[in-house]
Parts: sequence; structure tokens; C-alpha cells
Amino acid sequence: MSFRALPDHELDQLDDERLIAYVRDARDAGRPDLARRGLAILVYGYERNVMLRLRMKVPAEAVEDLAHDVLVRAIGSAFDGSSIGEFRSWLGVISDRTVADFYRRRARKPREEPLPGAHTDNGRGGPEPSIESDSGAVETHLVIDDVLATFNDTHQRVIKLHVFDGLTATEVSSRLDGMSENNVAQIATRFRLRLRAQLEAEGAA
Amino acid sequence: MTDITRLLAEYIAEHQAGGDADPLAYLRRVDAETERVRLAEEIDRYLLAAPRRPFDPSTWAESSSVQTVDALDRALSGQAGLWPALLPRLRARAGMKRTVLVERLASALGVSDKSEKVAAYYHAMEQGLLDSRGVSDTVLRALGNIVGESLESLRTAGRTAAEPRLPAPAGSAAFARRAARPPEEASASEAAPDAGTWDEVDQLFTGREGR
Repeated sequence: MSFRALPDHELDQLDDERLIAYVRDARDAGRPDLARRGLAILVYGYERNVMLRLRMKVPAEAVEDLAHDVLVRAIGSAFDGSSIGEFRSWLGVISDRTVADFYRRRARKPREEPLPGAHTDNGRGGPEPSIESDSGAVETHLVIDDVLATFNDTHQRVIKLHVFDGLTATEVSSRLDGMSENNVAQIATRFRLRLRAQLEAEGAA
Repeated sequence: MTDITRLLAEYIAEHQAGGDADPLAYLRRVDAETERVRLAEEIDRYLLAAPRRPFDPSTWAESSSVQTVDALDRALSGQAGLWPALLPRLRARAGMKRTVLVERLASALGVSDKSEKVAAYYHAMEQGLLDSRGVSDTVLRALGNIVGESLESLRTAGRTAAEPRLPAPAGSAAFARRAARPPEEASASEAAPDAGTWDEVDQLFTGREGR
């Protein structure tokens, strides 16, 4: 099977699945440069939307870092066949899981510290990613507790299961009588919005 | 037209025109929390279904997408799945230099006196040069405890990648030293394990019993 290199404007027209197949074919054909171009089009194409969605769900300083995680995990799994369904939907699933992981880590760990500026052991891995400092302003786990306390017991349970434990809305609704999937989603959204607002307020204080 | 419908339409127009389209700016324009939640969900649904933005080479070169593509490139070329893309970031989130992480990892594994060898293996994990299948659950559990990630999540990330393109690891300290440098610097003669240097660290990171 011969591999045909495509220009950017043609790659742009491919749907996600074909673009992923193109990247795979380019690698198999020994053209990592072309594979990289395909990856660039896929990543660039979705990065903005992923970041905008995350902006509503996590503190501002975590958005870029988590967007990187989402794209890496989603695209990585698309290449070994472990992704499920269409790539765009899969991206949404991974994004939701990443947000759940983020809050689980935050609930468990007092705060995320920035790395010191200088690194002597960075190998050749490129510039260090880091989350911007929120030093002196927020003990996130305390804010989470405060915001959680503004919800009634049932809603707190929903938040713990859905936001922190990563259960799907369907799974949560099946565990709690009278709780629909829509309710679960609304409660989670309300929690994240209140938390974001509280973190912003604490950060600005 | 309700306020929510109107705001959503405005949002979509700004997004499609390539503007900032910051959803928070729109959410701040809604007083009632119930309505704010509704708008957030509508915007989320729209963004989830929105198509890829067209590629713009000049914007791309300046974007954070470059770093993501670099990481994916390394991950898809290596033997350790997504570890090269994720481990450095997990370490960064934990606020740790590699030297500190290695010390803690060696201590958690009960091999503090062999932290140099642990360092070489950990570096190989971050660079995608160590076959993830050989790294034991003991190592991943200890590492997960340090960086705040589960064993399962680390294992999954290590598996999620294209077919390995580098030679299988020699399963030795010699491999670890070779792997700690760029592949282009590693010579074929170094692929052979060092006689007499095999120990529990090699076993923990390669899954092999020794020679």
C-alpha cells in the first residue's frame, strides 16, 4: 500500500478518524515529519475547545496543564485502539475523567506547589510544565470543604460520587433514588461553578 | 428569546468568529444560579460538539499545542506509552525536582542505597526508553503515591501507545545507563547487560529475574 502525503488544507478537510489513520500510515511509511503534521492539525484543532470547556470546570491556573493531559490521553488511546466511539466523543469522556482526577487529587492533597525556577536535572525532555503559583492565597482543600458544605447531604453525596470518585451520571443516578442523570449533571456543574468563583475570590483576596 | 438563548447565540457567534469566547464572561452576565448552570451546560454541549478549528500554521507555531505534539511524538515513538508525556507533568504538579522524586521513590522501594540506579530507570521511564510492561506494580504504586496518581492510571498510561519501535530493553543496569542518554548516543555494544550488577532494582523495573 502506498502512502500519499497530503498538504495542510487537505488534512484539514479529513474527519478525525481519517486524520488519525493518516498519522498512523505516515508513521508506518517512515515519515514521522508528516505524522507530526497530522498530529499538529488534530491537536491544534481541538485544543481551544478543550481549554474553553475546562475553563468552566477547573481553576484558571490548571486549564492549560489539564488540556495537555486530555489531548495526550485521548489521542494516545486513539492510536492503540483503546478509545471508544468517535474521537470527538472520546475527547469529551477523557476530559470529564481528567476533571474528576483533578478534583480527586485536590481533595486529597492540600495544594499544588509550583516548581522552583531552576532545574538541573531536566534531561532533554524540553521545558518543564508547571502550574502557576497560587501561593499565599488558597488552601484548595479547605475551599472545597467550604463549598461542599453549601449543598445538602444528598447533593454532597452526588458531588462526591460524580466529581471526586469519577462515577458517570448514569451510575450515580442508579445509586440514588429519585436522582436523574440531568440532576447529577446540574449539581456537578453548580458545584464546579461555585468552587471556581470561591477560588477566584480567595485568590483575589 | 430568553436571556439564556440569547447569550448562547452570542457565545456561539463569538466562538465561530474566532474571538476569545471565554465562557466565564458570559456566565457572569447571568444573576440567577439556576440559569447560570443552564447556560454553562448549553455552552459545554456546544463546545463538545464543535468541529476542529481550521489549521493556521502561524498561530500554531506560537501555541501551546506545539508542546503537546512534542510530547505525543515522544510517546508514540517510545516503549513506555504516554509516560514521557505525563510523568514529567505529574512530577511538576507534585512540585518535585527529579532528584527529590528519585530519592523518595528509592526510599519507598527500600533501596535508598541504590538511588543512582533508580534515577537511571526513572529517567528512562520519562523518556519513553524503558519497556513499560516490565515495570512492576510495586514501582508504580510507590510512584503513584508520590505524584498523586493511581497505580491503575499509571499502568494504563504506560500501555496506551503505538507499537514499540525501539529494541526491547536488555533488562539491566547497563540498559538503564544507555537509556538515560538520547538513543542516538547509545551504542550497540552497550546493549549487553553488565555481568554481576544485577539486583532487585533491575528486577523491579524490568520484571526479569536476572541472569
